[in-house]
Amino acid sequence: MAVTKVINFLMRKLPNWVVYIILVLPAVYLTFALLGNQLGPDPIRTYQHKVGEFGLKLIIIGLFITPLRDLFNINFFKFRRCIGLMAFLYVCLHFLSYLVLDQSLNFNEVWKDIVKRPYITFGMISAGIMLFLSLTSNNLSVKILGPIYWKRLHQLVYLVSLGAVTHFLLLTKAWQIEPMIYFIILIGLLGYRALKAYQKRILNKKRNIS
Amino acid sequence: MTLFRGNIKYSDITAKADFLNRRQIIAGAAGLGAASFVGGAVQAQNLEYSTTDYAVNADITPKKDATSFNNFYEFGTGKNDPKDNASRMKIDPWAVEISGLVDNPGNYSLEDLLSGIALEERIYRFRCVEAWSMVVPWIGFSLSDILKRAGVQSSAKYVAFQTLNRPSEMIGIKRNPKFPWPYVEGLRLDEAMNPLSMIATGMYGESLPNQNGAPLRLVVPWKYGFKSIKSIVKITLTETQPQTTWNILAPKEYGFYSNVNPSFDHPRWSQARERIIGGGIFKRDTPMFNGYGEEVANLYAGMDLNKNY
Ligand code: HEM
Repeated sequence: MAVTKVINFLMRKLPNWVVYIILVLPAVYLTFALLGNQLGPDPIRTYQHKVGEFGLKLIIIGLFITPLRDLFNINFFKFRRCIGLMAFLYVCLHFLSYLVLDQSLNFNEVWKDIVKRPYITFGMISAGIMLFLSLTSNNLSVKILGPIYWKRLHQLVYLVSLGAVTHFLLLTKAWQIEPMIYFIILIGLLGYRALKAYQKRILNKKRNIS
Repeated sequence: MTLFRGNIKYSDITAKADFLNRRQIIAGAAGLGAASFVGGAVQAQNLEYSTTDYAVNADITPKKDATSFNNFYEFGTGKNDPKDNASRMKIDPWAVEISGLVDNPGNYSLEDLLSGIALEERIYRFRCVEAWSMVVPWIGFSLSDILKRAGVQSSAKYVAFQTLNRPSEMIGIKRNPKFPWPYVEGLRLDEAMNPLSMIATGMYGESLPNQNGAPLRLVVPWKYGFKSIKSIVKITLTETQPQTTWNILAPKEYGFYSNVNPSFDHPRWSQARERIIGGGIFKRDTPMFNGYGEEVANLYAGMDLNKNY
């Protein structure tokens, strides 16, 4: 289709570094606004929520790339690493705001929180896995691990996304619509992959029989 | 970079010209009753009041923040929703039903209820269960003033309160029909009779904005903010402990007492420290009973406050 062709052409022309800059700008803006006390009456929470939501959005956007190619022939593969790393940047700022502003670097309290509060536990698991994935988001790691193991490792992002949405679902005080929306979208994205894997298994079986 | 604000008085926050201007408008409209509508929005009215020794030694929260960062789920769950949506609530005429174990039950108009009562200003710290706090110059009177007038009978042990439940003017009720409206709260009678417990009809020198619980609300400064029920339409004296909304919704998270207690955490967050609304990015340690222990600790002598949370 003409539209897909145009999009894919533009994406090929768009350099990666431009996308890095675009995605880093909100982080820079929010951080300066926080330090300049420009984030309204409750700056710590506002910052924490904004960067947390950015992180979650980028994780979800990253999960859209494969189905977009499979179903609509739109190819954003080139930006996968960039989106993943930028998601990690926002999660880092999110965690740092918690560590420094909420807990004043009191690691004892942080540890107690991780053990005691399920939403923090889920957030920590997701953030911890993301650290691993980010450290291996480079060509050298792909070479060392080999493409198959590297891919297996990076499929952990499914777990990351589930953990992050669970984190969000658990922390709201009363029934709120936003985390539900993320949850439904995520079920769609992961369901798509499950379906694809299932189809592939059946195809493989048929091939083995004949 | 301004990381925190210096000593500002709320009268400094509104520009002088603005301030005078509003005074004139109000003077012109003063004859129109508890609140007058100017261009659809409720116009605040300047109040006459005396000052008191009830004054925490801390920076007063900027008025703009205290009137735009609110929890009032009848107008939506977002912090700005009450300010955006509360102007549709009609607060004139207003009546409060006083019922239950009292000598003088009845449906009192606001004017009757307040007649002969002298208003005073009390600067209290207000601590929300969500681990933030404000310092608010309330204007009102002791809750005991109207309870005494109503004639509390000796069998009464608790006071129950109820918020207005008018979906046509309260969009949050329409949006969230499963919530157990109306909002209800309660105090033990000795808590209610404590001089700190007040009914506020104003703040920052003016009548209460709708989003802050106009035309009258409870303020109980040693308890989490949700106990300080807004826009009261009913007060009932009872013998048994009344139900309270957040306790109905999540009994493990919100107890009947809900005294500010830094050593007893909410299941999802610590209560040891609090964010200071409008105060920048540094938190403050939360004291037991929100700093009002001297006045109220004796109410709970012999009680395990970790069980009676
Ligand atoms: C993949 C990792 C994570 C993601 C995507 C994420 C995302 C989010 C989101 C979307 C919110 C809610 C924002 C809102 O309500 O608008 C949030 C809140 C929060 N997160 Fe995370 N988060 C992650 C990890 C963590 C970690 C590791 C911690 C701390 C150890 C943490 C601490 C918090 C806190 C304290 C809140 C605010 C809770 C409140 O409002 O009471 N998060 N996060």
